[in-house]
Amino acid sequence: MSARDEDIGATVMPPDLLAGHELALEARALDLDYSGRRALDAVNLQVPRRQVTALIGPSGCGKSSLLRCFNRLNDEIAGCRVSGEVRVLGLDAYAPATSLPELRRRVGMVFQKPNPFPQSVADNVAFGLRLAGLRSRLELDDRIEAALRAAGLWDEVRDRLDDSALRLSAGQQQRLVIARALAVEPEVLLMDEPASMLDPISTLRFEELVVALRERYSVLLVTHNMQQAARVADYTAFMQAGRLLEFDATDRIFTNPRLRGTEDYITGRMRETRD
Amino acid sequence: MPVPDPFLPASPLARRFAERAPARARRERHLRLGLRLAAGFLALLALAMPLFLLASARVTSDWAVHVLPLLIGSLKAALYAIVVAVPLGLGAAIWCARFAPPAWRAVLKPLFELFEAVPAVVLGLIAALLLAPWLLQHVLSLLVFVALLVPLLIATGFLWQRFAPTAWQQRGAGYEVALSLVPLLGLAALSVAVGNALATPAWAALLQPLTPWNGLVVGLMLGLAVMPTVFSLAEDALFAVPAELALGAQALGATRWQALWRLLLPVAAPGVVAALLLGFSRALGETMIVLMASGNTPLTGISPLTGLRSIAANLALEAPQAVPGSAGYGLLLLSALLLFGICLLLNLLAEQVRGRLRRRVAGL
Amino acid sequence: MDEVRHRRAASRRHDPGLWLAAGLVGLSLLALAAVLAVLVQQALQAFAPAPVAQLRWRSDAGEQQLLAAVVTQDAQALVVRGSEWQRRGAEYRRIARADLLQIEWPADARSLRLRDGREIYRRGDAVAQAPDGSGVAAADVVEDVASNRLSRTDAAGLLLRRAWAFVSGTADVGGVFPALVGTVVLVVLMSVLVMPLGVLLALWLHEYAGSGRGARLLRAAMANLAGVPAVIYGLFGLVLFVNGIGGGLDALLQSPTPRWGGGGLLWSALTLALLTLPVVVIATEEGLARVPASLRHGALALGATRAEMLWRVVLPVARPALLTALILAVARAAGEVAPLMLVGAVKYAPALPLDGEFPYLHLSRQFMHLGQSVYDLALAGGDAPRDMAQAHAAALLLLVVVVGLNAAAIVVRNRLRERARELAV
Repeated sequence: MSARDEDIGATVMPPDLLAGHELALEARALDLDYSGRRALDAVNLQVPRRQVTALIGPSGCGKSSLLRCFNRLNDEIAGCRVSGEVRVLGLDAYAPATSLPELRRRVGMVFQKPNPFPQSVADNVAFGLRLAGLRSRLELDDRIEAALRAAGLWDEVRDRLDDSALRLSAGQQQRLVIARALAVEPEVLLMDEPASMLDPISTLRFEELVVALRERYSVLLVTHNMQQAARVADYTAFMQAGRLLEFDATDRIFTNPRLRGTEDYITGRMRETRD
Repeated sequence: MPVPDPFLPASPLARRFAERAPARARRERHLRLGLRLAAGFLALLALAMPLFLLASARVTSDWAVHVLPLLIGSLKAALYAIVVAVPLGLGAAIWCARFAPPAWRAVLKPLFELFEAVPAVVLGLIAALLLAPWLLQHVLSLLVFVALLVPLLIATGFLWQRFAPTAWQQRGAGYEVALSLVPLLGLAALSVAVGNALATPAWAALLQPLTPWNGLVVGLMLGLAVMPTVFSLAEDALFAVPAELALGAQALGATRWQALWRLLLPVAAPGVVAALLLGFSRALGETMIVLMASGNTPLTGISPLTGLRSIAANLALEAPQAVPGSAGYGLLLLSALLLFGICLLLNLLAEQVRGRLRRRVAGL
Repeated sequence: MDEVRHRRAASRRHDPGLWLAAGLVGLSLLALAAVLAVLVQQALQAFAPAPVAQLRWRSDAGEQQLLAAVVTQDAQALVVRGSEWQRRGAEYRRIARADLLQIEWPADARSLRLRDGREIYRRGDAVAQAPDGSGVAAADVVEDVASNRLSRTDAAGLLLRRAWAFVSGTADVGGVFPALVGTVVLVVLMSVLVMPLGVLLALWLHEYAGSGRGARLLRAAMANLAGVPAVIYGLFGLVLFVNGIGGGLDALLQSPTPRWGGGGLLWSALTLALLTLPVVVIATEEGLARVPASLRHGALALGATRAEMLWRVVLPVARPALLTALILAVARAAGEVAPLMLVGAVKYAPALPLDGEFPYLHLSRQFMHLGQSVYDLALAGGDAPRDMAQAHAAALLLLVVVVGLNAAAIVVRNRLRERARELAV
């Protein structure tokens, strides 16, 4: 192995890597504090449109916190303070004029643990649609079917639309959550270790879905599974201790990382530590 | 790098969301307003009550004559009640938290909770119409029962654990409550017999209440009514102390009782004290039992064999006829203010003490 | 190993304190059971048919004889009730056994109950005759029972029928129907007032207020309000609602008789709503706290506003807690008497607060309440065993209702905990 660069503080990224790409998400000099404890430190991230970008790094490095900045779910956490710039689809996410419900509609989220509402499958998917005032049974059913198809779940639940969503398997529930998010026509999908609670087969199916979603949506995927990042993502960002250290095309970062820290993590030499 | 067009592609759904947005935002604002109003209302209410009492209460020169006996009556009734409620409630709490098999605890806790829900007027009825006449003739029996209760139970325990065959002991483990009914009922029968037999000597006349409605009846029934409050709070406090503490002591050779007495009770003491304070506060504020069973005579002697008149019962009797603005009205409100103030103080104190327990247990 | 077992056995041997504690539990349970048993027994006496005896006894006025129902008896004396020729007269006599010359239980003795609640005894088909010669019209007879010849099933049936008459009868025949109606109407009105306010408050405290100073102060205020004695709430209601607002309304409307300035349904409902507000808020908050954050975040992540998240996701999940809160509030309102004595419940109300004439719900009317009835019957029942028995019957009814409601609340609350555990797993 040739000598790697030391961590110099700023994000290491090949220049012109994203030339010609539109940006779905952008973070500039982003700092995040939880009641005084710094979780994100001067993060610069650019997530290109209609690609899958993976965020990897040891536990506690701030991946989930960064993810939550993009749909401002961090606002729900008491004592959370954000400074810097966050742009979502070109709009300043933290501007006072930004409509929070509209921002969150356009940026869908899938959580680590599937969280379907304790309602029927159809009602889960229709939740967001009903917020728009959609009431016509016909239109709702059409959209529900479209969303479930896009999530690859239609064939399995077409006869069980009125069953409780809690009866589905974990893999199905996670796809239901995606369908629920897709129903309101987002443009970005944030995924926080979405397959970590699924068995290997469901995980593979899930990864196929993510790759398929790439055609219409921009995906930012947090994962602790590097093989998953290698299989699914076009670009990968490496984070450590609240800092975004390296960003590159996936195959390059895994075969030829520029920073020693990145190499240590990827090769497993770095021990997972929790803050 | 080019930045994408910030305007939405005009999909029909996106347009619908845009159309609905103002209405949704408005509803959100209305909800916030409604919530603020509700909170403000509560704040207003919380302030209004003491303020209005303060404003209308009048301290006239003869307040001691009118109000003091009521205050003493309330305190007497609460004191008698606590004397009854604490042994029962605390004893039950200790057994439930430390000695009871989980199945028993799961039944006993809701059972006592249900008893707490019994309307006071029902208990007052029984006290006034049934307990009072009976007690008139059986004060001596009651004394005998109370005096022999603790020694009898301890003796039973000692004898059981010493002399009963091990097979019985093993089968009976956890069923001590049911088994204790035997000595209890026996003692009750004995006490009644003794009381009837000794009815004639002159000194027995000392124990004869002058009226059926007196502090003793009130104390017994009010104590029974307040016991569930003391029980549930004390039980929570004792249960919250981690079991490892007791097990550690037992591993060193202490008996369960010793572990309890020297280790757990001191740790849970704040919670137990809070239970006492709140029980006393409840007994002070209780109206119906005292109203129906105390005779409502404003006597201030310490003996429980005479009647008493409590602030709460007095309010129930006199407030409907009170004329606003009169001296009597002002004194009435003064008594209410005293009652309110004392209950408030006790509650605040109990909250403080409970906070100490929480911190203590958290540190363990 | 043997050492440990030996030690454990030894420690068990010297644990007498265990028995003390267990004994106290036993004593508490005995006391509770005694209260219940005594209540049931007394209440049954109100409904159980009393045997009728032909008596002859010695008194100051010479020898007397009477056909009477034997209400109670003990070693020293009998308490009997003769036919009630006076309306609700107390024809009770206490006859010492020492004075009793003859007592027979004729097989053909019958007790008749009349429409207005009086009870009369006769033998066989002999016409029941009053001392003044007047008879009893057949049309007035509501119940005709052969008191000494009842089989078990007959007696049970009679008991049930009398209990039903008790529950459905008006006050002048000794029934508690108006009190029941009054209690139900009061409780419904109170619920309509307290539930929205309580739920809003719980929502504010739990979802919006966070842990700032305002929230802490309000929580403290709530906890302290929960400890205020009920009678003080009644006093507050009396002064503020009845005298203050009611008196003002009367002056404004210039009504000749005080309509709003006296106790009434509306003021009672308001007072009780204030009284039960802390109960509702605390129970609701407990339910809100059990809704997992993952559900809230899921709803928000889909673009729901806070209000929509609460209305469409959180409150439906917390529904059992809302139900618990409602049940607890209702149980409290049904059982409280002291505040109602000050703001509107009366011993006898000529009309129901809910009836067929406009405006159907009479908010300014005074009303009867089951708990209040227990109190009034107890006061009146000093000498008349029947009133006493009715007081016990009313108390038993009240007890069953209130304890039943609380038991239901406990069941619902356990289901809520199960469900929360399911969702969180």
